Order: sequence, then structure tokens, then C-alpha cells
Amino acid sequence: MSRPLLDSLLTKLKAASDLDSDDLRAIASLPIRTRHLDPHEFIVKEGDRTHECCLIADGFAFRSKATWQGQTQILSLHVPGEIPDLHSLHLELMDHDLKALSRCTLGFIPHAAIKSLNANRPRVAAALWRETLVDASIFREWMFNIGSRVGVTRMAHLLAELNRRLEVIGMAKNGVFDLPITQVELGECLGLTGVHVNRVLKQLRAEGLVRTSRSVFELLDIDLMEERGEFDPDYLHLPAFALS
Amino acid sequence: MKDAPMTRYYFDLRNEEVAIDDEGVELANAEAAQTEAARSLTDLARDAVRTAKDLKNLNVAVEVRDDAGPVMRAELALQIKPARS
Repeated sequence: MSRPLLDSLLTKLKAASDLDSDDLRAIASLPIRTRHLDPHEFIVKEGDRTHECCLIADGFAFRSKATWQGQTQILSLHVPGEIPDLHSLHLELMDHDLKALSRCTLGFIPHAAIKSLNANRPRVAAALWRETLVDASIFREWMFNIGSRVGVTRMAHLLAELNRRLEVIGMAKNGVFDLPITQVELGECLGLTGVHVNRVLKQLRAEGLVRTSRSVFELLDIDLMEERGEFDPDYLHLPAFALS
Repeated sequence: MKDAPMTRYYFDLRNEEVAIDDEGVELANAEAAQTEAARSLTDLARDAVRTAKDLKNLNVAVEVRDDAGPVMRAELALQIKPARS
């Protein structure tokens, strides 16, 4: 059962990095433990010490922190094929929460197995290092987005980004993707209140850029949405096939 | 403990344009609505300051309604008073 779980990771690494068939076989034979989580269940909590990394095989996850007064900030959103706590390989103490956003299928891989894979296969180590660097790059862009852009641009940027990230893994087609996220959670991603999220989504709808129904987002003109969000995909460091 | 009944509040935003809220949000009481209104207002003001054509006449407001009618109005007006002529 472990092969389909690791498929999302293999597809992602193969597209982005230079790996040979032995590397891919070694990744495919990593020990992996499956868990199914409901929305908002903790994957790992701030303060936990972990000995496994978690691969998202299906569903969405997010990292967050809360102020002492209880105000939550979502720090990042994660899609299938990503290992949102890859950093825990070297930083075992969790300094933030990692939770399921939707129903998730996760694969837990022991740190020891990844460490030994990295030691024996430098190309795999480089590929995983690259993943954490892209993760950091997305953090920089989110910091920039929240700190410097107005609400409507912020939202357009986030939707443009998610469309690109989901498109690479085949989960967005022609600007249509499914993302089970509430307005409050969108607000927590963007540093906006639920009411303000409502307003900026309405504005983007009125401009003819997006249609939403339940959890489906439909970008009606991808180029215009990207322009509205001042979105430049460079920071995602997407594989060449995804840049058209 | 039983869940307290929630009320649906609508937040209409007014600055240079008006954005009528036809979806609303469910909140516990008027105090929660007041907090949401104040926070939304500062969000709105932050954006308005960055995009306003005329900073001197900047005025943003949030009007809160429930299904029975208006509940409250929260307003921020920016005053710039030159200290020299």
C-alpha cells in the first residue's frame, strides 16, 4: 500500500530535480505509515518533538501559530506531494502547529529512514533540500504579500499562487480547483477579517476574475487574476514543464 | 452545555464605494459583532489609506445589520491638521 502514498512525492521530486532510477527506487521503498485525518485535526503540535516527517498524499494541510490572546495566523498552506515538516528532520522541536485543513491522507516517514537515504544518495538529499528552499521562498512571498499589498491584491495573489501549485500536480485545470477553506481561514492566511475577505472576494467576482461555489474556485481569466495579484511565479521555482 | 443561538450579522462597508454584505456571518451576540466591525474597519482603513485619491477626506464606515434591521455603525475618519501655514 505504500507505493500510491509515495507517488505524489515521487512525481514532484522527479519533475523538479535530477534523480536517477536508483534514487527513485530508494524513495519508493521508504518505510511509511498511513494515517487519515479529519479537518482541523493536529498533525503535530507546537512544542512536540517529532521523529517522523509527514507527506501529504491527499488533501490539504496548514501551519499556524496563535497569539497569546488566541488570534490565529495561518503561516502556509500545503498541497499533496509536499512534506510540510521536512524541517523537523534537523529541527525536532516543533515551533508551530501543523494541522489538516481538509480530510487528509498522510504518510509518516521515520526521520532515521530519510537521514540514511540522504547520507547514501546525495541527489535525493539535494532534491529534498531544494523542497525546503522552495518552502522558504513561499514564506518570503507570503510575508511580502501580507505586509505590503492591499486586501484585494493579497487575495488575488493567493488564488493565483494556489492555482499554479495545484496545476503542477494535476489538481487545477483551466483555473478550476477545489479547496475546502472557509472565509475565516482565508482571512487567517491573509491577515484579514472574515468580513474583509468577503468584501475582497466580492470585488474579484464583480471584476469577473473568479467564481466560487462551495469549495470550488474558478479563475475566469488566469492571466488577469495573476496581474491583479501582482503575481510573478518565479518564487515558486516550478519545473520547466509548468512554465508556459 | 448547549450551544447558544447564533445571530447572522451583515457588515456593509462604506468608503468611496459601498459594498453591501448579502452573506453575513453568524456570531454569538452584538458584542462579537462590534469586535468584528472594529477589526474590519481597521482592515478597510488600512487599504483605503493606501489607495485613496484624497487623504484629507478619508472616511470609512462599517454598518452592521441583522435580519431585524440596523444594529450599529462603526466609523473612522482621518483628520490631517497642518501645523504650519
